[in-house]
Amino acid sequence: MIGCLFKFLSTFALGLVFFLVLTPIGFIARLFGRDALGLKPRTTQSYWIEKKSSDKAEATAFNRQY
Amino acid sequence: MYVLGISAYYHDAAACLIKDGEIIAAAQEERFTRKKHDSGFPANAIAFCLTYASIAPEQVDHIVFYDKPYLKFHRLMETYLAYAPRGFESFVKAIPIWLKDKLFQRGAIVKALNALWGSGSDWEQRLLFSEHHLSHAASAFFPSPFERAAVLTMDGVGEWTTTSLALGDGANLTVTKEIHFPHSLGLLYSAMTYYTGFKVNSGEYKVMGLAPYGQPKYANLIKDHLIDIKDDGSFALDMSYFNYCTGLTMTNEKFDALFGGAPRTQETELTQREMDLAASIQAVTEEVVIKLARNIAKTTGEKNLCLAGGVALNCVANGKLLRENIFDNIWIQPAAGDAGGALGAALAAYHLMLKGPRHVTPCRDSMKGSYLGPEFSSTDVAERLAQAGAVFSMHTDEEITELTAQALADGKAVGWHSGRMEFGPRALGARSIIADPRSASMQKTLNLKVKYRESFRPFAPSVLREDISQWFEMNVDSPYMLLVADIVKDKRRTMTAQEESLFGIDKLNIPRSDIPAVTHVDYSARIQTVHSGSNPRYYQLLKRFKALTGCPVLVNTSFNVRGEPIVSTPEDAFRCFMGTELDVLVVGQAFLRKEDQSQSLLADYKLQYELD
Repeated sequence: MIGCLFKFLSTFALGLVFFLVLTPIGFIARLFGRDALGLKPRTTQSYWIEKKSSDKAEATAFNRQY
Repeated sequence: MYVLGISAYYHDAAACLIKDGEIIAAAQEERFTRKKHDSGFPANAIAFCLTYASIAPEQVDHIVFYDKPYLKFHRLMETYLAYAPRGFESFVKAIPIWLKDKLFQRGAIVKALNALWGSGSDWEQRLLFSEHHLSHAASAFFPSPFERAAVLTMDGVGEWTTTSLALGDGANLTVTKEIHFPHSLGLLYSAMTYYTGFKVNSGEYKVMGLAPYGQPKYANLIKDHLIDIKDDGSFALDMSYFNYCTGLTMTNEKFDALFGGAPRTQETELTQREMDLAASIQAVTEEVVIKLARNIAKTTGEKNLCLAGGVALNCVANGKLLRENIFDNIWIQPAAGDAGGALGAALAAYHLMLKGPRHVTPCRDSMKGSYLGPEFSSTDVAERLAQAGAVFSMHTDEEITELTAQALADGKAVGWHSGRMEFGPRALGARSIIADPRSASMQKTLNLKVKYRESFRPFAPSVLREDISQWFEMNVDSPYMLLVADIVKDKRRTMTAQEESLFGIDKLNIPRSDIPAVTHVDYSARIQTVHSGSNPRYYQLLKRFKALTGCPVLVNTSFNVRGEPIVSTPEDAFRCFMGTELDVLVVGQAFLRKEDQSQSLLADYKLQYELD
């Protein structure tokens, strides 16, 4: 019973986050042309993404989770 | 300096220990827990690595996790942002797991290490994180026999990256370009695996095995709609056909409509359509891999290529790539999947962060034949087998070779447990079931009475390295069973039109060559070359079998039944032996015949594991 209630509440809370936060942000971002996943057709010679030298693994990068 | 690499929490959990850059020990967690593709924290595998090296936990200088959880979470959030309000169902499932474990991976790993090693030391201080594809690239380059090489990694997805190119030079390795999620060759292959009714993340092998029965009729449809391939091999998927970003399945209704029907459900009958779909996705995969390789050779000028990532386990594509002669040499990491990420993470941290030197032996990789797992001394084996109630006799190595070769020549199916267990998905003559490939009925016997599968895939051959070109159209090393080549013409037998029209096991059971048990319907074979340096016992066995029969080839299939992880201990081997119709079991220097064993220990084994 309590498990059910907890599940309902957590789904409800996740619903709030998803529909009231993520969805509007996503919508506005898309409106401004954001396409982080490359879902829109792209006119390009190559789909390779060059790695910027700042992204390249420097020694300290191993200390981070990102 | 000791560095421990760990992969866990997604697919195959594993651990690997290196000492001053030398690979000491590595194993997958599933072999210990007996749970296939176990993705939990690899406590057993870690414990094994330290025991093997005889070191205390305090002596481990760094622990390296194989990917970066925050980057993965970022990708997840960007995916929801791009699709919301779609994807709520997936969001509800994924977010609680992330909040509970994955987002606080550092804490979770430290907690698991405390439980395993005690909280006497500050493990968090020693914990490092590598990037998923950097781990793959490191596992492909650092153990390779090359001073310099281009490194191509391809898999489903890591954090963001699905495909990467890196350049390796001495102890340096730099990722230069990438292709990002959701555009993924691995996920495209998995989508077709799902659509043809096989399990994602393990059924890809079946699709590859099914391909030779079909015609690539749908290849153009795939290229016109699903994937846009540029001249340099880089690609983008049209995501409107896929469901894996937001849904709980790989493909959607639009995909179904394109191919004219719903996905096949598991265990229902396979039709020509699935075979043609398999042939088509295989053809497209090969085209992408070859185009990528061509462009990499042209733009980097490198002569050597290293491969890793799940797609590098596609040995048919690897064989095609080899025959294109784009690179002078190709080396493929045997644990190309996520288990190998543990190895790569440790090597990446050692060479790139700690600036450890790298020593290359020309023409010889540093994987030690991938025999990196547990081994058991002869007294240990005898004790364990006696404890299990086995009836056995102990022999010298020479006697074991003789007895086993004789049994094989007599048509017996042999369980072969010898030396250190393999690291990676293939059995390479340490935990193998071996048999005579010349026998027309051996394939059937092994499939139905030993492996409990009815397969459209033939078994793989082990062949003496020096004899390979007399039997197969290939003359390079393939110690890890990652290259496919054809049987030479004079060993083939042409099939009649009537035989050609058969399918699956019926077609496979028609002898197509002098070694039918290892010959696919297109005359191809997934080859393991056996070398005296890396596995002398197995090499001697093949030599003796050749002396008895004239054939330097053996059937080599993994020592397990379907759905079960490969055996690890002597007890595992004995249990599998007693539960199947294997005739003979060799465990190190112990020799066991089925007829000598107590009938009361026979067990019905096949229902214990679910289908893979």
